[in-house]
Amino acid sequence: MKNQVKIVRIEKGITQGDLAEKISVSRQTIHAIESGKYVPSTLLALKLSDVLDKTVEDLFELEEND
Amino acid sequence: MVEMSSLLYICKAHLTIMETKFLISHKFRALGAILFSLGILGTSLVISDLEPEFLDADVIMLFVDDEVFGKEEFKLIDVREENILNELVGISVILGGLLLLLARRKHEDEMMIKLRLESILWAAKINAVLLIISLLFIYSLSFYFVMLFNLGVLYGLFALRFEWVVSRLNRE
Repeated sequence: MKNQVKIVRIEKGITQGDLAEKISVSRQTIHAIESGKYVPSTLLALKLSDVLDKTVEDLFELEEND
Repeated sequence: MVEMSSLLYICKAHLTIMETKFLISHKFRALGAILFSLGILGTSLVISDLEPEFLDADVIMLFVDDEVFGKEEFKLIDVREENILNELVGISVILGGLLLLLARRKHEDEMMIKLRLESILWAAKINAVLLIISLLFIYSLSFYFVMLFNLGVLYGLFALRFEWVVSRLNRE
């Protein structure tokens, strides 16, 4: 699964730490999501879309092998 | 179309049930580490056949199988004096290990839960392999020590793997 979380976060000028605090996870979790090592739950995806003001589909995209 | 806030609420409720059903406060982590370490230290006493006298106590025994004057005698239940070091060490390892396994991290989130589950599965697999190898190659009294060690192997492997994965994540 591809994601645009890092790009959108930087566009909005938010640090990993701030984003983590806003959605009640650790900074490491944000780092893992951005680097594609961890696919978040529906809850976290919805929280991310809420905080970053984008739709879930804008942030996450299925790849051919998914 | 379902409102975003309703969706968030439903997801949060499910995740909260999962988190609170199995895990306990992170304060128990230190207690778990102490009990587990004491248990491991105690194991070395058991192996070296030390039986401190102050740990002699009357215990309730089930399924007692004795040989009296060459004749086998079986009792369903009996009360006898025994040294309880083995029992204390075993309970310490199991309870300490379980607390380590169930205690939340300070910043517990869904990724931590996933890492925890992965570490438990990994430890269960390695434990099974070690047990099968031991069953095939270790016999007689030595197997007693295998069973003794096996009380803590699953928890020890879990703790090592989980701590390693979390510390690697923290370094990134």
